[in-house]
Amino acid sequence: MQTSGERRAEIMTGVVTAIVFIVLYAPVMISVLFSLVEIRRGKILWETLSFEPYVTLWSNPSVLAALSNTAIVAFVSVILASMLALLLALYTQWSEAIGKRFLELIIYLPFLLPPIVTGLALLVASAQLGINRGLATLVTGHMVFVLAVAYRLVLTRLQALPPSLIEASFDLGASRWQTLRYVLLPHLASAVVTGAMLSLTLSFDETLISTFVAGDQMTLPLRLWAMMRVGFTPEINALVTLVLLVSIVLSIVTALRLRPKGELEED
Amino acid sequence: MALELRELSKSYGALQVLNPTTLDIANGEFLTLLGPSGSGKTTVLRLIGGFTAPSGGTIAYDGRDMTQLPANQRPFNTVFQDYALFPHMTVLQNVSYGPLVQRRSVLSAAKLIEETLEIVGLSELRDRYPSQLSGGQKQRVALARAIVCEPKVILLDEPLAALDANLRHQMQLFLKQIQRRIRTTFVFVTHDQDEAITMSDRIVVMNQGGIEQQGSPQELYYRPRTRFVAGFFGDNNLIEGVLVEPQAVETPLGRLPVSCKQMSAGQKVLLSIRPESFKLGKSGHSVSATVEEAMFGGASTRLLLRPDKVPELKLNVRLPGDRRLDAPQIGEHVNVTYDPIDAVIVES
Amino acid sequence: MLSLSRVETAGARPVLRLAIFLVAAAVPFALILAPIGSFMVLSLFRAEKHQIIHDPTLVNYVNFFGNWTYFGTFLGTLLLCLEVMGLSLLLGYPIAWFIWKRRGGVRYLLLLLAVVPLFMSYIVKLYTLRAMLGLNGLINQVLLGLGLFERPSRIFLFNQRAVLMTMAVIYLPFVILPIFLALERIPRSLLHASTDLGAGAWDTFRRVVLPLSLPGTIAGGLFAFVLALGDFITPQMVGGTTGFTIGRVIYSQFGLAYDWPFGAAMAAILLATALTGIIAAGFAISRQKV
Repeated sequence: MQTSGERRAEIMTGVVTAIVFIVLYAPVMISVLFSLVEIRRGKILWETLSFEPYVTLWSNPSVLAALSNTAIVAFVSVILASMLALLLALYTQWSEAIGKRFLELIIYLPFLLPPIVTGLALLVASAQLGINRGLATLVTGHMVFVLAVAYRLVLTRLQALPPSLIEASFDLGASRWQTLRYVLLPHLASAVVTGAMLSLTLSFDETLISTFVAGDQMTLPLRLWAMMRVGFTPEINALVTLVLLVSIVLSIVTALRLRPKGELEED
Repeated sequence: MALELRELSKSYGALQVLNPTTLDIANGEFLTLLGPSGSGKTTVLRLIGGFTAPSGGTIAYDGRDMTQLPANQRPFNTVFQDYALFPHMTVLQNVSYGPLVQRRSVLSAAKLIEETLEIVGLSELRDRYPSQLSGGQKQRVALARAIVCEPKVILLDEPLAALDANLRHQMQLFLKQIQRRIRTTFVFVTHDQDEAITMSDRIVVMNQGGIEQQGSPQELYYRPRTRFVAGFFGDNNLIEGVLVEPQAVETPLGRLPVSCKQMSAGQKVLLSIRPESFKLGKSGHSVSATVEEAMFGGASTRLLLRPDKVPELKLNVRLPGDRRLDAPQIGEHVNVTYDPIDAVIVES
Repeated sequence: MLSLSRVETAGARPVLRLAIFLVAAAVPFALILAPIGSFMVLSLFRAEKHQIIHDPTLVNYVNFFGNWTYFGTFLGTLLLCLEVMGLSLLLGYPIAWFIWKRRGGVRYLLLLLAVVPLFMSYIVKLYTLRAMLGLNGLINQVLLGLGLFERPSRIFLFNQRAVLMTMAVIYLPFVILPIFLALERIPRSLLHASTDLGAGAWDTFRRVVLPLSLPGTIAGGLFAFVLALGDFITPQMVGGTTGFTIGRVIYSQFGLAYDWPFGAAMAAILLATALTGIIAAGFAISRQKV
């Protein structure tokens, strides 16, 4: 059923895939490796295998500070972005809304433009307003960045709602607020959560915008950048591995939630 | 007390989908709006329900004008074509939705909800989610949800369209029984004429945005008043001719007797003779023809006849099944006749 | 389009609609539109001895276009980003196709594997890639071991080539995903129909699969292009003195060079470039009748 030509194509692309994956994973593997063992002059000293860095990293104050900043910025910006995305999606789907396309363009802009532009814009704006760079500007920067993602997910979900459900709710006597509360919001809840999880993973590693809007409080990526000259200790590699694991879990959960389940199709 | 539609019309820009229509719907009746796609029947339903605003005309119930009222304030409830069940609520929650949002007393509503679930036979399924229900079950939930609100009129938008043939027949019977039991006015929309004939107290046949004819199923079937209605129900034989003497029509097939009231001779008319009105045999007005097609249908046999006199004017004939007689074969030459009382004049 | 108002009936007055629009647009305007506007305005001012003179002028733009150091770097960056886009598409499409051809759990496993590197810290990725490219790095070791090189070479690091390869590796998953999604959206019945009508594997690919996956491919390519355009950390880390991009130049205007208006002007040009790219891609995508 498969021609020889097709088989050849599959083998070649398979080889390319394998090679590329090895290259993609090399940094990951090396980092994980470095967190567990010592390497001197290109030789892996397996006898030094230990999980100690995973424990001692928690007592490094500058790392912990960076980690907590990252977490605060991530959660606050994602919560704000999710709420805003919900309101904006409801607005743009309102049949009598004006300026819908323009508004959507603005929402997608920080995600589509080079991060350097977004970061710069916020830097200049905050300087002109006399606002000092710090956690607030960081939150703002992350928020506008993930807004596009959260908005898109909620929007897609909202557009998938059969209009007959809204009509049915009215038909049964519900007011606009009741329809929103009992029919619309439950329908959108899962999309909001999924968007939030995806946004969290994006925020955790956000580097480029953060370099412009961060003040003295550094996030983890910024702290890592500062340490790049000195080199990374096993503890850093351990931390990076942990963050990677958490992100993987979050992304798997997100992917599962995003898979079309068809439970809403009224056959 | 009744639903009164006066000069109700709807246009979308230059396109008029409903011509000014006047209709009275009596309390407790099962009324069907019947017609092909684009006939305006669904538009009428949506106007009554309040999901669309009319371009002209009024809707009144029990003397009160409803035209300006939004859907959620009208005493009517709709069973939607796709059921529109809330997927995140159980059957019980779906059915309880109306009372919940209308802030009715929980106790009195609970009793009604229980009774309604009983009536539609869903008591055991109350904790299931829509995704766990079959098509017929979802139908019943949609119906129960509407009934619980104790509306004055229940509007049904082609509710049986998505069901397979057997289930449809069951549900037709079911809907009819429910309607008789709760005695609420049902306004039912369908394009299926068999469905309309079996279920309705009264049928309103619509075509291209207007009412062609309304009446009981028998009236529409035996005394159609327009060509459209005459041809809509089943295969009908429509023969054009001129009225001669008060009791016959001169047609290409010969002089065919009719029984009708006063009509002036010389008028051009359309004659309608139902396939089942024909029988084999010779008479003064029988038609001789060759059998072109013969299809055995269990209770009856359908024949397509090619008359000797006018080969292009095919006749549809339906003979009752009789195991004692052999049905006519293709190519056989037969004579068919009819009782004049079965020939109806349709305004031409 | 659903309507939360009385379905289809006469709507709110124009004044009310405008008011609601302003409320909804308030935050996006304030946090996105206004800052962008403010730095574009800044680009029209001058900086002299660390003071910003609020005197509208186009001198920043003149300096940029007139000075080959800057303009040339910009053009070089554009070329580099197009190369990154090209390289990642060249590698990304076959990989996405290969994954798409797998069935069942293997497919999603491979997809997951392709996407996971995205979640590794960008900085640490850069750091390890830099180490890999260096004198004692993995690349040199492999080439030495295979006997292709006699001595470790410096050609892999601290130049444009290094920037290109590093960016391609980092942005590859961003390209694989949209292409895969576009391929996945192709109904299997179309492929069956093509075979049924007598097409061989290559024809089916060329006439059915490729055209239908083009929108996703364009989107993926655009993604890589725009991301590379704004990346100034990668060139700084692996570019050395010859791997200079406009991103680095802009960044230094806000650092040591301290000429904010000039930096803003260059960023404005970068913005225009990115927008042009997005519009061009959007145009190309909408012309596909998919």
